[in-house]
Amino acid sequence: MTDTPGNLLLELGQPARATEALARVILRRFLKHRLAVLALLALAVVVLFAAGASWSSYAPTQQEPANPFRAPSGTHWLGTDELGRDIFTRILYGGRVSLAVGLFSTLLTITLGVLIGALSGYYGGWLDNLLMRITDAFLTFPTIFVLILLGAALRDQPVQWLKNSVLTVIVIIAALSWMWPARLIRGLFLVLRERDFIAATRALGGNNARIIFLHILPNCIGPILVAGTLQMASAIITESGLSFLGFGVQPPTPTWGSILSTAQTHVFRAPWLAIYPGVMIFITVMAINYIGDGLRDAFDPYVIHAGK
Amino acid sequence: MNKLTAYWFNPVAAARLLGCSLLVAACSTGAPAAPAAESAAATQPAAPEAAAVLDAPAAGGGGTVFLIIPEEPNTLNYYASDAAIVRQVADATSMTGLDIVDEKGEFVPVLAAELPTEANGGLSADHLSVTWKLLPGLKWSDGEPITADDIKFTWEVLSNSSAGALSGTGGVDLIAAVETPDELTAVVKYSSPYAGYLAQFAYGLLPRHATGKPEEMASWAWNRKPVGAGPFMVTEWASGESITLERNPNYYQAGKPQLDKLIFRIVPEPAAQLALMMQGDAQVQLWPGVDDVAEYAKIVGNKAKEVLVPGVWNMAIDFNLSKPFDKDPSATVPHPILGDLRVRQAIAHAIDYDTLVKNVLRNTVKPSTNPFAYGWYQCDLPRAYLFDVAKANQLLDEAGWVAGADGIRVAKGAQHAEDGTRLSLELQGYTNFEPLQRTEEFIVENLKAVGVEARIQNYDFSIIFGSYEDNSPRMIGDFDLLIFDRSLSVEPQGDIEDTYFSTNIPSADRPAGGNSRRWINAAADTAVKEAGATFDLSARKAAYCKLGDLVTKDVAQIFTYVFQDGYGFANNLTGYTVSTWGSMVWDVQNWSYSK
Repeated sequence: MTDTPGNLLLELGQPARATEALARVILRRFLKHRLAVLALLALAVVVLFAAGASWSSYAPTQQEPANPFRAPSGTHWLGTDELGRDIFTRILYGGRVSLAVGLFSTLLTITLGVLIGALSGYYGGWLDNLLMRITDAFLTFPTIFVLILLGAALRDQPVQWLKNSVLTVIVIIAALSWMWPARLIRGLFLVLRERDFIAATRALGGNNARIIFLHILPNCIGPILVAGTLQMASAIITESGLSFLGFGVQPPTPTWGSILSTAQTHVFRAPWLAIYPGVMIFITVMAINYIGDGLRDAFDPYVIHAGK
Repeated sequence: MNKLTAYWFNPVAAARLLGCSLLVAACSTGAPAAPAAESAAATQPAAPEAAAVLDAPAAGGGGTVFLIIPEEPNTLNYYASDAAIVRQVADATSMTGLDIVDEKGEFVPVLAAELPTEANGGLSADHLSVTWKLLPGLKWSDGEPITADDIKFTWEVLSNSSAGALSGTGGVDLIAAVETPDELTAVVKYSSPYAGYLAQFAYGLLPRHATGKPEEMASWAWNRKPVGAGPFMVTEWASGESITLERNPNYYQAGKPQLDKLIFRIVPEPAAQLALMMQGDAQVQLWPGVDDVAEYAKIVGNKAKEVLVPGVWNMAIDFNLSKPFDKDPSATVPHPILGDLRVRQAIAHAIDYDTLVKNVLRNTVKPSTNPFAYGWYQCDLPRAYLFDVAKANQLLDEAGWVAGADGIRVAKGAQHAEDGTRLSLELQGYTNFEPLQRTEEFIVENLKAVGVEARIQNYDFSIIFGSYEDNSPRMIGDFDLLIFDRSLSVEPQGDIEDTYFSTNIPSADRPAGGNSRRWINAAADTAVKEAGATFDLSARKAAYCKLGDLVTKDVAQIFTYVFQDGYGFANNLTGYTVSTWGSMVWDVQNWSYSK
């Protein structure tokens, strides 16, 4: 995505030294989007809190079994859970895993999806056929069976730390979700590659890589951002599901997803337990969504044209 | 079917459903397949004159009672299913058999005139022949007489492998023949003695005239509209909604049942269930999933109360005594850490059992110290190693495990482990069962306090209880500690042999072996054999207690607590008794209800 400003410049027919000016235009457009700025701040706060989790005076697994389900107080800001653990601390630590899984698996998903969708849509022909059949094959796998198979494979492999690492979770989630962005991007490429400006670029001697990455891709930024924000939310929830199948993060390490699913069983006694992780996931996803909105507006070549 | 419904909202229900399928696999050696599996009928032994239905005082007039069940049974044929929900309905209609286990855990006769014993000549001296005598004048719900031939037919069905019976088949393969010298007498001939003979016809009789061919059992119309000997009979089944049962006019006990109608409503949503109880639109709720009795009363506006009864699911930690992750399922190489008894004792000393029961499980469970926590074989053994952190630390120091940099001990002169090995163990359990996870998390903190690291690794139920061929870690010996809830049925010998015999270590040659701890103890083998060699219950109990003592002193297992079953009963419902061994309707003929 770092190429994008360059591409916009070319489209605007401006000299390269104006990069700085354009970056300023984009930044200004982004800053104009109030919600996006607010969302960026909110996300920054969430990330900072998660990063600073170790400042909490409690350990995330420290228990007081005699004090379960306490209401928020001066000693426990958000109260305690079923084992008397400090919920605030667990939410902070949980954010580390959940944010990492959410952000990185989304990046990986989108990267994979864009790559495959772009190649498939741009080149067409046998490559399109091959890549799309692979995509179809992945789509037809029943997720639960793939996960159970993966679980068995991971159980038997010699590198024990791989089994419960966040890296494994990220890769698994990406491997199971790249197909949707891939098909989306392919569709967009199919349309855009026929457009006049692509023909013009080709006539001017632009090679395929240039056309794909500098000319077509920036026009897809809107749908990509939308797909990404949706993916992020589901990744955070999927993570907690994975630990049910024996890989992924195991208890007592907190994640937002696992706190949420444990809270479900205590819904009559302490309904508020589900609210905290729910609110955190909500804030994060909304923030990513609005940041995506802001970025789309800022980068959209049509908006820039119109604005000039 | 729906293990999730029950699981999410009801730990005990989940354990039951989950455990059932485990038991089916584990129980093939002869014990009844489902836990706590008997039938429904009288609490009091029936007096013979009670069978004279025609002279009985009028029953009925007691109105309609609504009962909430979280999921729909797919059959009311107890034998054709291993789902725990089936008998919660079937107990009221089709599961009235020759005898029953009452709330005290003792067998009492129901349709039989008396229990066959050596004293009354019902059990032959060589234990190879059992004579059952039916009460005179018994009738099926359709008015046909109940005869000894129906006992014979029940055996014919259960012993026919094409019938595909899933429950209640314990010891059936040991029956050589059933003879019926007259209408009221059935003589069961055994090829070898079976100590659990009293449990064999306790799950209900199958009427020859109203069912079908044994090999077609799965498709009998009887399964959904059984002709039974129970207090009620099915009159309407609205799939997905409700099952309606009306009073059986031919019920054998005079003046019973008092109620006219039972309507089982299928309501999966716990919140909706509680709302029905609160409004007084239902009188009985199965497995409410609220683990505090006072809280339950509050939620339903004091219209009903939750009654808890000790269940059969006993939560215990298994120790792997053989080296894990070495592709060798046998016990030849000792576990590098757990092979040392002192380490196992230290772990036993490190767990705060009282807090576990009182705070972590909030007193919803009963403490247990050994495998025999209920039933006629209950052993009240004191805890072998009490919670004592200082003692745990001392034992670990002695065993050559010294404090490490991060608080976790490392080996320095330990018995089996190389110097520098971290005292880190994988604690396996199964997922999707919140109380189990809570227990694990608590034990992890307990062990951390003495410098032992336990890494929780929960797998799906199908993996933990999978087969040897499927590489289940339990079977191939790839675990350090394994925690789950297990149960024993009324006749436990088959399970006990499977679980504790040193020859039953799972391996390629014995893939179904149940000694996954790889525990080899000659005294234990002797005790198990003793328990199986006699029909004398007190001698058998003594042998089981010996075994319980050995297994806990040698710390091959640590037993923690037994779950309780909960039932919600409306305050205006009376006459019920709850039983470890029975379903919620096991004594429904005694209930009465005032609007």
